[in-house]
This record gives sequence, C-alpha cells and structure tokens, in this order.
Amino acid sequence: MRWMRLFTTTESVAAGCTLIAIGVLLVTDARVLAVSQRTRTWDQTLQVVRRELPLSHLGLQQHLSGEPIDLVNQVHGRLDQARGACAALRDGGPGPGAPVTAVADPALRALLPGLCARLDELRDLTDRRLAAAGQAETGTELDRAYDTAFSDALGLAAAAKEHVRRLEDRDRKQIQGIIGGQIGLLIALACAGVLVARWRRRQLDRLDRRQQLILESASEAVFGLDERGRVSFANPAAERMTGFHSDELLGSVLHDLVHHRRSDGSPYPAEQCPAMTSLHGDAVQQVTGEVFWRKDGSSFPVEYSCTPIREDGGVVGAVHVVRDVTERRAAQRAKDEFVAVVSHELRTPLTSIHGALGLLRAGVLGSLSERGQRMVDIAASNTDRLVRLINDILDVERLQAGKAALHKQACDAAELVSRCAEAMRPMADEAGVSLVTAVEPATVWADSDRIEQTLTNLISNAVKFSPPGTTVRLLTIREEQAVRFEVVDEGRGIPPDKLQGVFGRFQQVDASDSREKGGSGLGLAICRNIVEQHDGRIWVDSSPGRGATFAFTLPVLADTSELATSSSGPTVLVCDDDPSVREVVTTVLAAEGFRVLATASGPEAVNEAISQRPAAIVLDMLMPGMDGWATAAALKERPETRDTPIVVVSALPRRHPERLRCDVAEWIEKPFNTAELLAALWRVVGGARGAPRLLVVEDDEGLAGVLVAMFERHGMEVLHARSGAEALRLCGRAVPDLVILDLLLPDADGFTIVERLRRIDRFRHLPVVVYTAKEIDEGERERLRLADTVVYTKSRVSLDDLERRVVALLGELTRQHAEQASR
Amino acid sequence: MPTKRILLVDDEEDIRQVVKLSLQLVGGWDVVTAGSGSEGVAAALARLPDVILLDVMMPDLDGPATLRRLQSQPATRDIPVILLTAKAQAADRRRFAELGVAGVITKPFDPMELPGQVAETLGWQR
Repeated sequence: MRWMRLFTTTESVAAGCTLIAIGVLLVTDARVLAVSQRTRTWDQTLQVVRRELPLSHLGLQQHLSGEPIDLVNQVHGRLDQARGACAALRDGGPGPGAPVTAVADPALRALLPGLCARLDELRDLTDRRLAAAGQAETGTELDRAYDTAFSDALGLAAAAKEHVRRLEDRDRKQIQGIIGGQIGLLIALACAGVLVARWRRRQLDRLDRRQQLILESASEAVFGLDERGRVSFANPAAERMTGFHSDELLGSVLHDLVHHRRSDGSPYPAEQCPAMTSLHGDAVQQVTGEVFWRKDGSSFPVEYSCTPIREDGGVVGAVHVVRDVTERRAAQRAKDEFVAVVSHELRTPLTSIHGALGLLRAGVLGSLSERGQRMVDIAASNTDRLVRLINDILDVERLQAGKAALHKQACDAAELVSRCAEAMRPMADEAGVSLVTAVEPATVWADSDRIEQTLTNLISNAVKFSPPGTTVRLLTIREEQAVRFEVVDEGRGIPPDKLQGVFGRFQQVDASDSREKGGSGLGLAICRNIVEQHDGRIWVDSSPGRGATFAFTLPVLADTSELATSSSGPTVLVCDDDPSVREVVTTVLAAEGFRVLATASGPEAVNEAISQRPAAIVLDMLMPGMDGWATAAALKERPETRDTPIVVVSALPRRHPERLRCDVAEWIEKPFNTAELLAALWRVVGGARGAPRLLVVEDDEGLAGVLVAMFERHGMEVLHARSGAEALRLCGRAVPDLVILDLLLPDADGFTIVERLRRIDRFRHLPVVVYTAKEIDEGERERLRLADTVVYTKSRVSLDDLERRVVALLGELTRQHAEQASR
Repeated sequence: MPTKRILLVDDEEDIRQVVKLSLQLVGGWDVVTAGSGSEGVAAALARLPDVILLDVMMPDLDGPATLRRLQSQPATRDIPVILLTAKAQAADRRRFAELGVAGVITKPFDPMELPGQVAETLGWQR
C-alpha cells in the first residue's frame, strides 16, 4: 500500500512533466511550422517572380529576333505569373503553389507595391514593344524604358528575396530561443519532480518507521485479518499476549487459534464471533466481557474492537485491536474489597461513638451541664454527618459501578411525591418552611425506593436553603414521553457559574455549606446516578436570589390499556374511582400477565362483571354513589357473579368493623404493596393451587438471592435449592409450578436432574426454565426436554428479561389451569 | 409481663457496652453479652434468651455460622435472631433474610431507637 502510494506519487510527477513537455513541444512545433510555412510561401512566390521574369524577357527577345515561340505562354503568361505572384505577396490570396499570407513585415511590404508597379509597367512595355515590332522604326525609347523597368523589377525582386532571407534568419533565431527556454524549463520541471518525489519518499519512510514503532510499542494486540479471518499481520504485543509466535499466527484463522471457547469453557462458534461477523458487515464492533486463550491453554479477559477494511466497495479484511483487562479487573476487585473493608471498618467505631453519644445526649445516663450538653450535641451531630457521608460515598460507589440493581415496578408518581412530602414534613416544619404538592396522575416504571431517595434528597436540600416563611413546592407534570418531577424553592438560588457543577461529587455552592447545612456534597451526584439509571434526565434552573428549581424526568410507562386487554392471562376486573389508582393497579396486573378490565364506578363494574365473567374483582370501598359494599352486594346477588372472588383494595383498615357487611375473599390496605396484591390475587385466582410456586436451583448464593427476591415481589412462593439433591428433595415435598435451573451445580449437573425428574410421573409435565452461562447445542437441548423446557443463556437474557418471561409463562400456565378446572 | 432477656453477640467491646446500656436503660430489658460466636452459642444454651442480637462480621465464627449452630441445637433453634450489620446493601439483606432471621438492623443505629426497632421486629408490646 505504502509503496504503491510512493510509486504513484513519483509516477504522477513524471507524468505531469511529460505532459507539460509534450504540450510545450507541440506548441513550439506548431509555431515553428507556421513561421517556416509562411516564409517558405513568400520565398516560393518570390522565386516565381525571379524565375518567370527573366524567362518572359528571354521569350520577348527571341520573338523580337524572329524566332517562332508561343508568345502567349512564353511571354505574356510568364509575365502574368510573376505579376500574380507579386500581387499575392502584397495582398495575400492564391499564390503559385498555395495560398500566400500577405506580407506583414514593413520593410518587405514597402518593396512590394514598387515591384508590382514595375511588373505592370513591364507588361505594358512588353505589349507596346510587340506592337511596335512590326513597324520599321523600333522605339529606342521604348526599349530603354523596358530595360530599365526589367532591371528595376529584377533588383526589387532580389531585394525582396534578401528581406525574406533575413526574416527567416530572425524567425529561426527566435524559435531557437523559445525552444532553448522551453527545454530549460522542462529540465527544471523534471528536476523538481525528482526532488519532490525524493522528499515525499523520505516523508513516507519516516511515517512508515513511526507507524511501525507505534504498532510495536502498543500494549494492545493488533491483528490484521484477511477476508477469511486469517491473520495477515500481528504486532509484538499480539505475540506476547497470546503466547503464539508470529509464524504460528500468520495465516491461521484468529478465532480458531485464540477465541474458540467462551469463558465458561463452552465452544464459541465462529459464526457468532464478532471478529468474524465484522468481515461481512460495515459496523465497527466493540466487545467486552469475553476471553482469549493462550497457547498454553490459559485464558485472559479481553475487550476488543473489530474494524472492517473496505476497498472498492467490498470488505477485504478487518483490523482487530485487543486489550488484556486482567489488571483492570483485579484493580476493580481490589477496589470493591477496599470499599467493603472501609465500609465495615469505619462503621464499627462509628457505631460505638454514635451509640455512646446518643445515650449521653438523651440524658439516659444522667443530666449534663449546659456546656457539656452543647459539646455532646456538637459531637453527635458531626457523627451523624460522618455516617451520612460514608453512606453517600458507598451509595455513589455502588451506583456508579452499576452494582445497585434497580427493582423497577409500576409506581404512581403522585403517590411517590406525597410519601416523600409526608416524610420530609417534620423537617420542613422545624425550619418554618411550608411544603405544598401539586401532582398530575401518571405511572412511571421505577424503583420506588431509589426515586424516593432522590426526591427526599432534593426536598431536604430545598428546605435547608429556604428561609423561614417561604414555600417549597413539589410538582409532577405529565409530558408526552415522561413525567417531570420538580422541587421548587424560594431560597437564595445558585449563581450561574455554579449551575453546571452542582451534580458533581463533593460540590457545594458555598464552601461553608457542608459545615452549616450538614450535606456530604454527594447527594446530588447520587440523585443524578439514580435518575440516569432510570433513563431519565436531571437538571436545575436557578438565578441568585430567586430560588432554584431542581427537576428530573422519568420515562412514563407506555399506555398499558392495550397490553391490559390483549393479555392471555386470567381476567381481573378493577373498580376504583381514582384514575391514578386504577392506572397503577392495571399496570401492575397487566405486567403480570393478567387481562385487566378497568372500571370507574360500581354500576359499571357490575355490568362488566356480568358480561365479561372475570376470574376476580379488585374493588375499592370508598366510592361516590354506589360504594364498595353496595357493589359487592350487587355482585353477590347475581348468579353470574355470585362466585367471583372479590379482593378489596381500600384505605380502610383490614380489621374495619364494616368489613363483615360483605363477603370478600381478601382485603388489602392502601397504600398497597405490589407483592401483597399479587399474592392475594394468585390465592383467589389459583383456587386451591394458591400463588405460583417457583423452585430456583442455583448454587451461586448471590444470584439465587436476587432471583428469590425478584420473584417474591410478584407474590409468588419461591423455594431455593443450592444443589441437585436439595432440588429433588424440595420437588418431592411439593411439586412446584415452574423450575428455574442452573446447569452447573456442585453435586449434579442440570441434565441429571432433568433425567431424574423425567423418571417420576408427577414431574413429567413440570415446566423448566434453564438459565445458564453454558451454550447449549441441539442434542443437549433434547436431553433437557421435560414438558415446556425453555433455555435462556445468561449472556443474552438479562435478569429483567428473565423476570418478564417467567412471569408471562406463569400467567399463561395459571390461565390454562383455570380453564381445565372450569371444564 | 416478665422482663425480656436479650443476648448480644458482638466482638467489639465498645459496641457491646453501648448496646447493653441502650437495651437496659431505654428498653428496660435484661441484657447478656458474648464476645464471639462460640461464646454466643454457649450463652444462648445456658441462658435461653428471648432474642439474640448477632453481629455479622466476627473473627472465627461469623454471624451466619453462629446462626447455623444455633439453628442446629433443638434448645436454641426457635430463639429469634436479629442480625446487626454494617453491610446495608439490599442484596445482603435479601441473603440474610434467606438464612431465617427475624430481622436485620443496620449499624450504626440510634441507641434511643434500637429497643423500639427490636420490639417492632418481634411484635412485642412495649
């Protein structure tokens, strides 16, 4: 490539010089030809004059001496030819051989009229001499005049000829000068071309050496691959990293050599390898979380990029840059351990200090002097600050490392705001600040704890920076795709130069704030992390002295009405006059796979229940007009709905004396907990089966803990087995509705468990979800087939996806069971 | 109502003293303390407390290991255990909940509220 480029450069310089040279030559030739052609015609024409004139004179003499000659041709004709030639020279036009250019040279031009006049005179004198020839007396005057004209004409023709010769000489010299100059120019151009080419070659050589040095000194392995994935180039780092010599690398398919297995040891098919697929596409691939295998069989974690090389519209290879991230992983682990140790080591002494000061401060150990009390208060409040700071640092650390898994669910935005307002009201009251809320109904898909943490943080800041007697307003505003939360204060505001930085770590608008207001300087950084993890945006509008508005958005949950009515799960009728409660309940149930019918009043609910025959009814009690009791009574009176179980969701307590007035299956208090509502619904819809029972077979305690908590939130009963033996024992105790199975277990692999289950009749139809890091081939898939076995690979199906799929599967199974039961 | 007896197991002497004072003076309960997991198991067998407050991170026998020993003894199997931990992550809480504990209280705690937290966890009337 490089040499081609060099070659092309030299070539183009040479070609340019040649083209210029040819052009110059052509122009010069044309000029030489034109000049020589012109002077040649003049010369030829004068030649005609100088030849014909004496011949005509000779003819006349012969005729006059009595010799018989062709007078017309030999005398008149020749004289006329000489005259014609002379006229052509003077005026331009048809000459004796070719057209003649009129003579432009002034000196020559001055001669021609005289010559023409002499020739005309000769013609006239010739005629007169011929006419006089018959007479006795020959005019001596006439002869003399003729001779004078003849010799004048000859002399003028000779002078003209001499002029032409001089002109020729001058032109020749000029042309020679031009050609000489042009040859010089050509030589100069050629020399310049050679010099430029040499300079360029040196530059390219230097660039080449630099690139070579960069490639050789790079810590990343750089591979050049051809169109079939074979190594065509490998830098020294590539050899060091893989342990293969360049001779072994070159010509080998890179994937087969170092990338043939995944981190868990399972085969990595070439058709799934990003490096191989980059040979068939345009996109640059960035890959993380994979391993490469060394020549000695050991593996190391890598990150790599694959960039296809395109030439003439097709991919001819790829560049593969690989980074060994072993050290980074180790550093991350060390940092995690450090954070864990710091967390424990700092909290332990703080626990003693905090506790001791708390007891002293409260006066439990006897009363203190006023100064002593003041000192203890200072120590206690600073201990509180230190505790908050440590908690915030750990929070930031976990959020930024993405370790704080979010537990998202449908949340009512208004509910979130009012809960936070209630929690912060004592602080606001103490500061003399009033807290008002204005909310629009909307449902967001969020981790309510984390959003409450964010809101609480913003409200706490707003109250801290508000003077007594002012108001802090909390708003939610429904936008097209998002819900905007705003916390608006009337405090001192934030100067424009500080606005940008407020969401950074350890940022305080005023350096004294952390001392006076007790913040860690991390609160807003935590808020930003939380909001960004929800795919939202956080910002602040403020100007000094005019308060501040902290706002963030959360993506609004898409309209669930379609999902709610299109689901194939059991039908649940929801009746509540509050649209936000209706929306949240509908969203929660739809996400769980229920088909939901939402109604806003008792009569509407009764009509819908009669026509749609739901599996259960979720009923609010305090509704205007026909209240919950009346609605429940109406439903119990109708034969179509008499047996439909009713789940009450009400602000009234469970032990409300009025409960006895109606026959309801379950009673959930508002604000309700999603898991509690779902568990109640599963109990009434599942009949004797109750809530779905899930068995998680997973030896990784961390992952198992997450799975158990995740599905318990759906109101399911979740059992956990750490080994194959424990899994079989738990299945024997009570048949689960679904098993989530890891394949790699300490005592038995998943295949063995499935084979054992298959031998027992009542387990033969057990649905199994295999969640494994292992790549499964068709044969292995067949070995895992029990009834409805599905296989999800950990690298491709996230926990969120798994949650959604399992919940949908259980919803479908419950519906099938309900259908079978009704038959 | 007879006075409740609490067993506190924590390797930190200072924390033991603070918790003891808090539970005695604010809660009005009897407090027995132990400085290690094995001492805690012995004390539990000897004194049969109403609840055991158990530190998670201790040298030798840590909280979960002590809990397993307590659960393996018929005499102590049914004594409710509340874990005291500086680890407050949600994932840790879930893991601890799986071990079969009555509750988890995060360090550092407020000594004036600690008895209330214990009572609330166990459903005691105060």
